[in-house]
Amino acid sequence: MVQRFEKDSVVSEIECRRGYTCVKVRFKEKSEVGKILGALTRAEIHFTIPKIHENSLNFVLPQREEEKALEVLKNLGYNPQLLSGCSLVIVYAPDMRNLFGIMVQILEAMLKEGAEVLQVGDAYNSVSCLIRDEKLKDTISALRETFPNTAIKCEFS
Amino acid sequence: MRIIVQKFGGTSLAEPRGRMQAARKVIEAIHRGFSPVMVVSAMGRKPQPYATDTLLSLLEDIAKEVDVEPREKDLIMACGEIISTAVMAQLLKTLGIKAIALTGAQAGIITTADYGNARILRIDTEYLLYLLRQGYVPVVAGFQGMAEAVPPQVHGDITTLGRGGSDTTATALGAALKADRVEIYTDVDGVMTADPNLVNDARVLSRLSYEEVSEMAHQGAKVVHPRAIEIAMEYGVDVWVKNNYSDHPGSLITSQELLSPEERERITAITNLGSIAYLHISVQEEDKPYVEVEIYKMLGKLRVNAYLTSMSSDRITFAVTRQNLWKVRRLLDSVVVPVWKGGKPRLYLFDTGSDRMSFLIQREELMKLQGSAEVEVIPVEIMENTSLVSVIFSQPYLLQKVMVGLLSVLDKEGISFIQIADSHLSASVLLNDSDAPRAIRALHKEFSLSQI
Repeated sequence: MVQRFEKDSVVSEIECRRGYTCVKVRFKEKSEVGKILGALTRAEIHFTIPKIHENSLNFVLPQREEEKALEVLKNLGYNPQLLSGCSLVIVYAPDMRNLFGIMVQILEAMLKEGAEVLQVGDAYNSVSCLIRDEKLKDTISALRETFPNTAIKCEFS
Repeated sequence: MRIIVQKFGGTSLAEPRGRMQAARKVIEAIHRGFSPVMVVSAMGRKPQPYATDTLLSLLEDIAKEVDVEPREKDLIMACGEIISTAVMAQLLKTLGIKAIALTGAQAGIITTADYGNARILRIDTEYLLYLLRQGYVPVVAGFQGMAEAVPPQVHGDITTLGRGGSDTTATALGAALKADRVEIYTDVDGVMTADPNLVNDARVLSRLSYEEVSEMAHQGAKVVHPRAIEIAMEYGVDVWVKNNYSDHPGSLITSQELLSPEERERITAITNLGSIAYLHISVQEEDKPYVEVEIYKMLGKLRVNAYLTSMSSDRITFAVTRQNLWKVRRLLDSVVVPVWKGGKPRLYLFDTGSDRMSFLIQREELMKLQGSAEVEVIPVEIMENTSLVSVIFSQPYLLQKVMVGLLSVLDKEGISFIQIADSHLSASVLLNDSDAPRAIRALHKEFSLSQI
């Protein structure tokens, strides 16, 4: 006999990672996105959560790669906006797409603590939010209240 | 005793030829020295007579405006699989095999009482093991179980496991019975590098990891259901995907450590998640966080999942399935979101461009409040026909390289994209439905997936 066979479809872990930078690069044409990300990749810069907005490409990278990224982007003729001192808060659930209302629970917890979500990425098993470092502690407390008994894993680089 | 669990889907069982093929696979397994447990889905798809949706319509058609109670819905939805068990057991018996038909409950599958989406709590395997020791082939109804009885009930209610339920039954039984392997039979030769209907030279992947398959399934590939893979991964069950109509060896889904170094570091497949609607709502920057939370809260209440969400200072952007778009339209049409931070309250109304009855009535009424409140009418931009094309890979560090390759192919092909997204093992682009087949073929070629 196997007990408690299937995992419940609930939030399983919250992870926080410090040391990230939010980058915004204004472009004229959307077709420039490939060129920008290509140059960053060749320079071995580890971008994540890339999002295209009306006139800009936003993404997140480790703060330690910020200077190198700035150089690459300036060489391409861009003048990016960088916001250092950010943290990624990642909420994991095995079946995120069937947890209706999960996004609002996360956003409400952040809003309650006045944490502006600078960038968001969602996948089938996680939602990642970029916030400012100074809001991390309160945000984690609010998320713990929202998702009690969830394991919290913090990584400080 | 070497146990094998063999699962056959509805399309394999719809016609006598498919059922005979399935019986042949069971007999072959016996000849290979296995003790098989057969898991079956309902026969065929609507409007075929024993398909789940056909049976459900027997209740729904009584009075369209009266919802069917979830308990009765589960009861009738479970019938299709039960019919299949009796048919397949009878067929096996006529072929000289000792077989016995079992409902999920009779097979010992105990679930939560969440009708329509029950989760397996435990599997009491004693009876199944007894039958196997007696030389029977148990033919088990997939997609169902039984909730624990709540006094004064003597027996619990029949429950169904939700989407992908028969795959879940198969891997769960495989885990509980400590089976040597689980075989999922379908109408293609295995897990493929792309949809063979779109890509002529799509290849069968001979081996792949649980993680790769899970990513593929979530990004639109019609392979094994991710919930079934989650169980297989948790309990270390090897899963084979095979063709009911051929003797192709199929695809083995197993743990990453058992794969070769090349298999552990590769571009795996191209997938397509179609039928997506992408929405943009622009609001005043200072109000955006509040309006955003209200919209997501209401979507949650409607059980509509928003994904591909994007943050900007004054735009709320998200995707929903096209199937859910009418619900979202109706919601946005009828809702008024008030924001008040001292001074005049601001009232947001949303114009979706169609289904605007509530919007038009409310606008007329609310406009009378102009002066004491600010009424903001927000047009909602909706792109109705979009698809998410994804490149699946086996290691997270491949993301940047794949994303750049993906964008360069689109650039070469002159295909414009709407959004990009990344996940643990995939890089994706949202594009117009009509461009998806061309993008998939070009990506399959670019990443040399026909050489895999």
